[in-house]
Amino acid sequence: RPNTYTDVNMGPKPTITYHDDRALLNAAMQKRLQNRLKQLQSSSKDGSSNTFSAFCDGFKFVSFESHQRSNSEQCIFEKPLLHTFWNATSDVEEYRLRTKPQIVQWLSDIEKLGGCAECLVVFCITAEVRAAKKKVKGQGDVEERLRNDFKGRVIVAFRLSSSNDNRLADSLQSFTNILNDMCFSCMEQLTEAEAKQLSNSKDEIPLPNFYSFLVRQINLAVAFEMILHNSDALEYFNAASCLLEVTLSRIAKTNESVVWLDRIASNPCTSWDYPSLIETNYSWKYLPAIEDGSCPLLHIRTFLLSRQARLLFALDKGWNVSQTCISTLHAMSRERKELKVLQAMPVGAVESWAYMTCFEAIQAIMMQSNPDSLMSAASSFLHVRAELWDYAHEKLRTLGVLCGLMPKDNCKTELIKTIQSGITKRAELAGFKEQSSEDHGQNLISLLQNQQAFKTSYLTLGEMVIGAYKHAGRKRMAFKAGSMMAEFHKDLGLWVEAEQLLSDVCSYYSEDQWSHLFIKAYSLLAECQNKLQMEDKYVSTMVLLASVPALNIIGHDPVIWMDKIMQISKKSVYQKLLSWEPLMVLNKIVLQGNKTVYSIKDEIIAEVDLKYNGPKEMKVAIASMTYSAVSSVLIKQTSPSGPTTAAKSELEELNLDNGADTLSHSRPIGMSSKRYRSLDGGGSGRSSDSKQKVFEFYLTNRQVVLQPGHNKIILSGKANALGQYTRSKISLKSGSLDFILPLLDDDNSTMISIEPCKPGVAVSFDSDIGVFLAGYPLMCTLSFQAGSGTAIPSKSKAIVTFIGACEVKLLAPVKHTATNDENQTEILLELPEVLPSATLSIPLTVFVPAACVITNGIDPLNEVPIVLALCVFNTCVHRFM
Amino acid sequence: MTCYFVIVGHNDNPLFELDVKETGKLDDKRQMAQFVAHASLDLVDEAKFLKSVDRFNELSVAGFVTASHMRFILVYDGPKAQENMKNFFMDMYDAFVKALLNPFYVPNTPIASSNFRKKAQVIAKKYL
Repeated sequence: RPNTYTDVNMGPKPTITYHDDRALLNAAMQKRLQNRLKQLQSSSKDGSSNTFSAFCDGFKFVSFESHQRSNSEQCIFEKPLLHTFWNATSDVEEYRLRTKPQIVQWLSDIEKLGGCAECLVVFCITAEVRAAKKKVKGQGDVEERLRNDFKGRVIVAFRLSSSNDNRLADSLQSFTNILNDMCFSCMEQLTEAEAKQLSNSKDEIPLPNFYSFLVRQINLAVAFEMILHNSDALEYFNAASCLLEVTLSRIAKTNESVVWLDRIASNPCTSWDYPSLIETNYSWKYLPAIEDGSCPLLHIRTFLLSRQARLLFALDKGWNVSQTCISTLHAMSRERKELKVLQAMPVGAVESWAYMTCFEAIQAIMMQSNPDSLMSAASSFLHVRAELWDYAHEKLRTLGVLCGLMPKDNCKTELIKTIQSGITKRAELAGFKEQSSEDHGQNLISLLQNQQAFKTSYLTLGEMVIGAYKHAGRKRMAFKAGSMMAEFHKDLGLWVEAEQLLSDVCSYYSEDQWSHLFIKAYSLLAECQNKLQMEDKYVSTMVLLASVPALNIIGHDPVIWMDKIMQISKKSVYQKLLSWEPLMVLNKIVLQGNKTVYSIKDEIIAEVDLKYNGPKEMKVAIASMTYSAVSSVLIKQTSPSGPTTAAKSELEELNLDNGADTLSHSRPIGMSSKRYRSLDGGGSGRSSDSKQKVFEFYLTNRQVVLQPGHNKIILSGKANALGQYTRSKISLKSGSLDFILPLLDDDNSTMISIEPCKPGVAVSFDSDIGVFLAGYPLMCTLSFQAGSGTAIPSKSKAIVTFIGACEVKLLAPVKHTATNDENQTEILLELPEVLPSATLSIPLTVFVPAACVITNGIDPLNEVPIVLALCVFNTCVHRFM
Repeated sequence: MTCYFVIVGHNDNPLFELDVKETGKLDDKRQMAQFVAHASLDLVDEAKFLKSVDRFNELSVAGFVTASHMRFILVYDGPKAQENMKNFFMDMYDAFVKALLNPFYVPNTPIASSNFRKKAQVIAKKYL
């Protein structure tokens, strides 16, 4: 079938036939008409005026005789849209005898041919005709007779000679407009009729007839595109593409043999140029072969994608180009894989084509889209770009694998040459015009030259993909790309880069609990860390891997990881601190008896219930739970110059040899080996060193063996100091591995108290002068001294009984009530809080009337029992500072 | 043929996974499917409705977001009728809601119920 397009880069043209035996429509005339018609076409870009698309680049003039002789079936846009009969008869007799019968015959032939093309008789007003018109006045000139004889037919007078150039120009313009309008109208009718036919027949298309139906759809779309009905054209192109995909998928599933597919598959695919989405006219070269069924499937897809892109840009839907592009690339890739008949396609052809197409799509979107819409939809563009780059990256990877360009592979030079040979550089394309867009074919050819060039391109593109996804806010996709890049780095021996990428990726996967991804990423990470001799991180990673069950995943054996961990544990020279989870999960800790208060001598037993996720048993040399004191103490050293008054916030170490034991402030519990007192908050200036001291004790168990699953460990121990404690951590030590689990209880709900075995309170009553004199009020002091481990809470009650009728007055603001009778005076005191090791001294006066003593017959100078102090504390709660 | 279905919880944790064509050993295809499903969560979050959200080589991804922002992801190859996928998601959603009504099930944790798994397999067989 001949290629009817005169220019390989131009699209199909509307066809006009001509019957002309006087060479009126000669080359010069055709050129004039073409120029004018091209102007019409290029003036309108949308369907607002009835013109043909600019890609038509004029009309095609075909002689009527050759059209008659042509036997091949013409597609919709090749059919003649207008038949013209050119004549310039000046003589009436000649018209009667010759021209008129010719026209009649011509009309009859047209009717036999059929079709909806109009007929136009062109009466050319040449110089001869003009002269003849002047002579034949009143007798009817040829034109008049022509119009009379062929009433109902379209007859146009076309001025070829005139004394006025303007009239010539007007005539040309008017004539070309008529040509255009008539052709346009005919094309509209043709497309309408064809669309109706196709819609009636599309429900049941037998598979053997599918390809002809497909071609009709494509041709109809082309026809719509010619008359700038872009929406309709796009609809049919999309339908064709979709139908092709669905049909091929069906064939792949059923595996049936289809003649047209076999024919397409048998066409050798020697070039895999990417579809030009900017200079879309390049795609017209594929159309004749598509109609024939003599082109490979790749070219059909190339053509469809080009046209779809062009129409999307024309309709200001440039964003959809990426989606259309991705769909097409996926479809082609799938068909190549699933259809056996396509297996003969050259290896790497589809991948190369897809790679180049992605870049072309990005470039086209940037260049062809409306700048305003580009700015307003910047975020959409980021997504689009990231997706296309990602796809290109994946295809590049496939090419690398196929061509042996990946690390540690051997280059397959022959295959590389074959792939390069199928790519045409833009500059070598027929009809190439200087363009500003990049030549992706050239780029691909260059990067396939050798492993170094490939590696650089692959790494660069990979980083672009990761950056683009992150910029677009698609973290997971960025991490996916990162995983693949990490593998590549690893294969290249770039362990540091691989480890860094994987560390990012792995931290994300562990949160999400995607087991396969987790295992693959961490396995790679472990390999990198081992290679880089990062022993600590390596062990941490292996612990994570060992805690994941086998899950029937190929290549994952937690037992192997566990064995490696144990080997390192035995050999390592220093302790490694590791987190419990996920190897161990704490369920609960229960103190025996559920007690919260223990005395200093009590043994504390705790049962720790945990789940061990390791694949095999693990021997733990020592398991311990640490209890830390609730408050910490700041210690300051001081010179042994004696006690000073102090505030509560700081402590001073006392010289124990001093003998003085008067403490008027609190002292933290638990410091049984040393005595401290608090220092002035502002600092007495005597301190030199200060350090933090936290008091702890441990519950332990040795030689524990953890079995996979639930385990209960009994820990026991004793506190070594009084005070309040809360558990701070659990640690399991196995070889050089310390598994630490911090236990942070914000509300102190697990606090326990370690208290003394019994409370210590001393009561003393002294007189200032050392003796008691009757008949004289004496100043005395009643002291309550709390022991080191005891506190007397506020509002404790003390009853002090004085024998005899004494008058007792308290000089301190202590709440009290006194009851007197003749035999005794009883004072009920409500004590304020007395802190441990502190003394409450209550000054009071006691007056014993002399008469009382004489009445009882006691020698007033000897052993007069004046006071019997009976202290009863009705509350005694142990509290600790 | 690859056909992998996963329900993803609020913390991006998979609550339920179903390999429609279970072959026993979980090979690279399953891993690739999980890889693709995880990455496509970015797009499902943006799309918020049933549609074909992503493609990776020959694998396509369809997503469905429930009212409580649980994500249903289906990774498949080959063309599948939109209507079938929609029906699949709807029936799975129905089964999922019933699973949630179980007072012993803790929301946002993996669904271990064998009953639910059987239902999922039946639904998958019916529409996929």
